[in-house]
Amino acid sequence: MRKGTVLQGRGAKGPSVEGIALVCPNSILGWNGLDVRTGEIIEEGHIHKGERITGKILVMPCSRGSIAWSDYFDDCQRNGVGPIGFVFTKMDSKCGTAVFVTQLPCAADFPEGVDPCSIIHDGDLIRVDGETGRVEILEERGAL
Amino acid sequence: MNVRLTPEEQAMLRGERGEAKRVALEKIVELAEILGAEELVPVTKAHLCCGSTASPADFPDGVLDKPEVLAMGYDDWQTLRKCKGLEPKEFQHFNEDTFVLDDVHCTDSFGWEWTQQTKSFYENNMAILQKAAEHGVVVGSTCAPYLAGWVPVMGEVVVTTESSNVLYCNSVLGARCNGGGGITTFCAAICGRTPKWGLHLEENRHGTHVFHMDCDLSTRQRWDVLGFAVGKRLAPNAIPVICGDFERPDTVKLKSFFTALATASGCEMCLIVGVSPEAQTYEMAMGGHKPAAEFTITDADLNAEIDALCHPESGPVDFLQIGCPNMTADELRKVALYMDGKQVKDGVRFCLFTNIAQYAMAKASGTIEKLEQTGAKVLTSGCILRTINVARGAKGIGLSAGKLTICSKSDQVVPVYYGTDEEVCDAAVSGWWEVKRHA
Repeated sequence: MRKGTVLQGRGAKGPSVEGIALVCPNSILGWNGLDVRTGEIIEEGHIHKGERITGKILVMPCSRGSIAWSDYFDDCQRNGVGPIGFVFTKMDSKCGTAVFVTQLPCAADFPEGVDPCSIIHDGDLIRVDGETGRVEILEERGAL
Repeated sequence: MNVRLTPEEQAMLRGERGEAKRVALEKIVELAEILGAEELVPVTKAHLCCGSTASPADFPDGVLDKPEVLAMGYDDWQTLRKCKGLEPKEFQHFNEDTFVLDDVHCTDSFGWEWTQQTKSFYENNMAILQKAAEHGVVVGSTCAPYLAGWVPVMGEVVVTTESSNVLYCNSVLGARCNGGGGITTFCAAICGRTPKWGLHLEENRHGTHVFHMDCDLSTRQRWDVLGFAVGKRLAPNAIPVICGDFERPDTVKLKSFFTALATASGCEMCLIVGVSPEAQTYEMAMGGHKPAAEFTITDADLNAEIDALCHPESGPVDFLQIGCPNMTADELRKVALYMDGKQVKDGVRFCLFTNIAQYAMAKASGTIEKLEQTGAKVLTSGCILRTINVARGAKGIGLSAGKLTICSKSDQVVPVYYGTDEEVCDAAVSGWWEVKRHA
């Protein structure tokens, strides 16, 4: 029973957001990883290849790829196909810029041993409080 | 969480140092809160894109003279895109104490014909760069600013939009640099501050993953593919330690290595034992930490990378490029020596990309003239990926940089070959790429 589970990280950017989680344990490659016109993940070999980040809360360990990583999320948002929030296991410089440019709620920097990418499952309904860093599983995927 | 500000930063935030610095600093403080930084730090060097914001994707048909594109980044001088809330007229100058040098842009700095561009497109980009100079930018137009006098010393805090430069600064110079992105770099250059965080902090500057070299690393190409071999095995945000008994690398090898490593992994610091100032020994590199993982890189690993990069079947080529990152005047000299007495085949376009500082030195040394006598063209300030239209119409492409090869493969529908600088020269002379398998 994961419903009601709370993960406490650091509030990186408020406010709160509720939505469906898209969990990417290997992050998403920036360049050649996202189609910024559609929000579709196009990275070869990605577990969610062909799915869209649009309207989802992205749960990822950190960024992956070039210094322009944040630009792809910025461009998705400009095209109306961006995500609605972020959960990063550990904040890094490119994640920080992605949150900055998209101005989306974000919780990050979870304690050692707390891995949002394994506790949260794809399709879970979660609430991310970007002020306090509290992430709660509101509904498990199967119950939705 | 509150970011601690110095009295000077507080004055800036109250608008006492001008509106531009106020807005930019507000954004840097916001970034600091997102990152979890407790304070800011002065930025003494910044390196960022200052030319037209047009990119190759804006010109799928190759037609450059589009009014809406020619207007990009000129009237507002990039503030609307890169520093929302800052009125263009309020932004007159980057931070006066910061050495701001520009990154590559979409044209050659000296012409438009060879690159298949138009005079108006070229002049528009030059006008935008002139505007940058009026804002305090030193126009060097390079992805390798350390080849243009932008050379931080150990401990100096810098920002850059070039991922290979992040690695070069942290790993070779011992400077302090986080990646980030174009927008936050732009704001940092205006207010002269960046969050003190990540690789600025001593405790984060130690190795995490150890790579033992059991391979030949005597050439630039071996270091280029080593970047991929290491990058592919690396966890995100890891700091690799390169150790073993190998020939000491120089600037040319390292700039290739870091470019490939950044492409493959997003890594921002790499400690090379015996070379990096913070890794004179293995123990120093690890700083008392145990490796999260260890790997051995063999010749077979590197050979597999070379084979994977290169198009598998021999064939004709008519566009060839060397220079990623931008070449040094000495690299140009060596290519001129190799090409001495040879001629680029009719119908084949062979270019060498450098920056305008190295170009001036190569010109003073007679190297440009020697190269042009062979039919090669020395270009500046870009590459096949950045210089719009430069490879348009090519039927076969040959390159000596793994990064360009990988990125070009997705941009181009024609065969893209990868080899050494010498193999690129040979193909320019013959118009044919003979594939050699290495595995």
